[in-house]
Amino acid sequence: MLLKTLRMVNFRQYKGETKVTFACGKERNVTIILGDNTFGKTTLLQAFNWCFYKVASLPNPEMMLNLDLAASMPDGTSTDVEVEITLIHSGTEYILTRTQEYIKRNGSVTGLQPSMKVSYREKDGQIEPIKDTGERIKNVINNILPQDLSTYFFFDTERVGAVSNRKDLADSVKGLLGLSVLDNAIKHLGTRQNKKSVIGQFYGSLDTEGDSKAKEALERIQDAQSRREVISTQLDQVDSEIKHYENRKEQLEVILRDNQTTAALQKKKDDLERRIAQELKAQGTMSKSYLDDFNTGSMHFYAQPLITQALNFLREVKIDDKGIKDLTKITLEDIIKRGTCVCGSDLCEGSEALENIRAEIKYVPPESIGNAVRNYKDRLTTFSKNADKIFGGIKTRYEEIFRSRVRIQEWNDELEEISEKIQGKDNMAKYEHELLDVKGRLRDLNTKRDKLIREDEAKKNDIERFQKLYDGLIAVSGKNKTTMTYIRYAEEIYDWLTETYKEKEAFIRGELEEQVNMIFERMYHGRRRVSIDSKYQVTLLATIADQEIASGESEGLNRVKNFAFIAGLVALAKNRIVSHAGEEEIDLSSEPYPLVMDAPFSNADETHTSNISKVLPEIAEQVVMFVMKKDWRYAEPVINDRVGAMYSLNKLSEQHSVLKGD
Amino acid sequence: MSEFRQSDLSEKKLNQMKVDILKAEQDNLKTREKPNDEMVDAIRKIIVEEVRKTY
Repeated sequence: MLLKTLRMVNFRQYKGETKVTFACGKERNVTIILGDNTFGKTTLLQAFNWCFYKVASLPNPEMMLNLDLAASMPDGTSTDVEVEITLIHSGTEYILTRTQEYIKRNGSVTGLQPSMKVSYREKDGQIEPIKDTGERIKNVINNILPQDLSTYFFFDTERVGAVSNRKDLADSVKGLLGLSVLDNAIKHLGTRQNKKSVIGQFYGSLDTEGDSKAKEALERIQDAQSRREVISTQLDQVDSEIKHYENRKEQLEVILRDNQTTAALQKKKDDLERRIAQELKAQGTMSKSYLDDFNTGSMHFYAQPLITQALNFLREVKIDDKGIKDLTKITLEDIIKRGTCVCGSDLCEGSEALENIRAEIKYVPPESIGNAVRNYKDRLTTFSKNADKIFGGIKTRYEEIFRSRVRIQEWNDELEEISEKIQGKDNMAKYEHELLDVKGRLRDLNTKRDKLIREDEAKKNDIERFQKLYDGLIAVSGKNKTTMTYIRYAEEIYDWLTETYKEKEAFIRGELEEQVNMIFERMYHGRRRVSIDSKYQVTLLATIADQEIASGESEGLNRVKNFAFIAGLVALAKNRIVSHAGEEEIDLSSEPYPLVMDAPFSNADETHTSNISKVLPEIAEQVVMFVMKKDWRYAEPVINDRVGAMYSLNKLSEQHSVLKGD
Repeated sequence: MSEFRQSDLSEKKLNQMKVDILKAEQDNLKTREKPNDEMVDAIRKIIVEEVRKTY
């Protein structure tokens, strides 16, 4: 398909008639439309969608009529909105015209159902309309560009996040690269187990009347096949989950490997926090014991310094302590009064014993306090010993508390230092936990996968066993001979298609990967590789320590990846894909397509902008770009010699933009 | 596949069926005119008619 012109009448901010003639030359195949934000670039892209498919991804999509016109329309009048595209498809020129009438009633403007006209130019130059009988026009449009593929060619860069990760990508790619024809034929031919397929229906029409064994065998085959189909879906799901988790595992391992120091510091931080918490708890217990000891021994604690002082003082004082301990003057006077000493000596006046006792009175209280002082000293010493013990205990506890406080302070200092170092960095423990979780999931999924594969194998064996039985039973009946001939042909074709599909698919995927990588290398100024899996999902790989791992993607990088992928598809779609049936050649090729892109360079840096601008016109048959002036500076030097048409947008008001040819 | 498969199939008929089926699929892919069941019928018809033909 090649776009020739776009004509809009009163479409959104394009008041009146606006016409764009696109560059279609071999060398000059680029059309540039310059315009800043809100000037109407996206509206231009959506004009294609509206004309082709009656859809437009725009705010207020039910109002295609220019708002100035809508406001100035007199009540009871009507105005048309029209978008017309002229294009060449398969060598024929088509004119697609979508019109919608808007009527104003009671001050309110409403649109009627849009109508669609498709005409084509006959070889003699005559324009012939295609009569709209039912779905015919829709089919013609689908023939030109199926709607599900249109997002690849009417490409809204800012709205399409990741084309290369779309879920329906495999189907779209197959369609573009000519594989859908084979794929659909395989599905429609089907197998004997699929009752709705050609082969299934042929088998179903075999006459098994009266042969219950054959019927039973067929049922067993069909049941086993149904189960295999369920298993296959489940396996796809499990494989996709395994792939997802394996990618995540790789990413997590990279993150953890890259942040080993942070992880170690975070571990240390966690350890310190745990130790501080434990120490604070122990300190609480210590403080309580310290207070208990203090409460019970405070008297001793405070008295101890005084007692020590007193004992020191008493040690310095010379005391005559010749007296017998606890002996007093009264005791001795009582003995004198009794007249007999405790030793039995008679204490008569003038006796030596009496004189001795009288002499002793001088050394005992109250005549002498030396003895009392000695007693006091003894008591003080006893008290002091207890106080020493209590004082020591309190002192030890206090020292422990003090040491604990010092420890906590040191750990807090260390914690602060670590926190500063890892500030702003992700919590690696989070990733470690996730990695453990991912590994567990992978283990479970692999177990599930093995189980499904074993069950599938068993079902496959069942099918083979019952198939042999069934074939043997059916073959004996002559009535089914013709049907069996159909089956033989159908199965032969099925095998051929499957084989051809396998070959072509592997070849095309390899070619696509090669093309995309080649284009990606030219667009991207870094060292990464693109990998395309069996579902055509695209992954960027980076080489780290000789190993290729899935790499992260910035917005800009993702943009380049998308462009490389689409350019690869476009490049491959231009190639001829042929299959052979005997001497007959079957052309499965797709049509070359243009690339119409809104804001292709948003989020791309100047090098990418320049690289993309250089590559796309070389690959695509035709390129139409709606570009911001700031991006054009970087694109212009490399793309200028391919530009065949150039326009710029001028915004007169919010409701009125004008397109001028340069 | 099936044990019915023998080597008595006509190569010419087989190739013609392949071409017709792929053409039918190709046309339908472009126009999306026929749903799956109609395509199944169309392919059955191609096979049956080709088998019946005498060259």
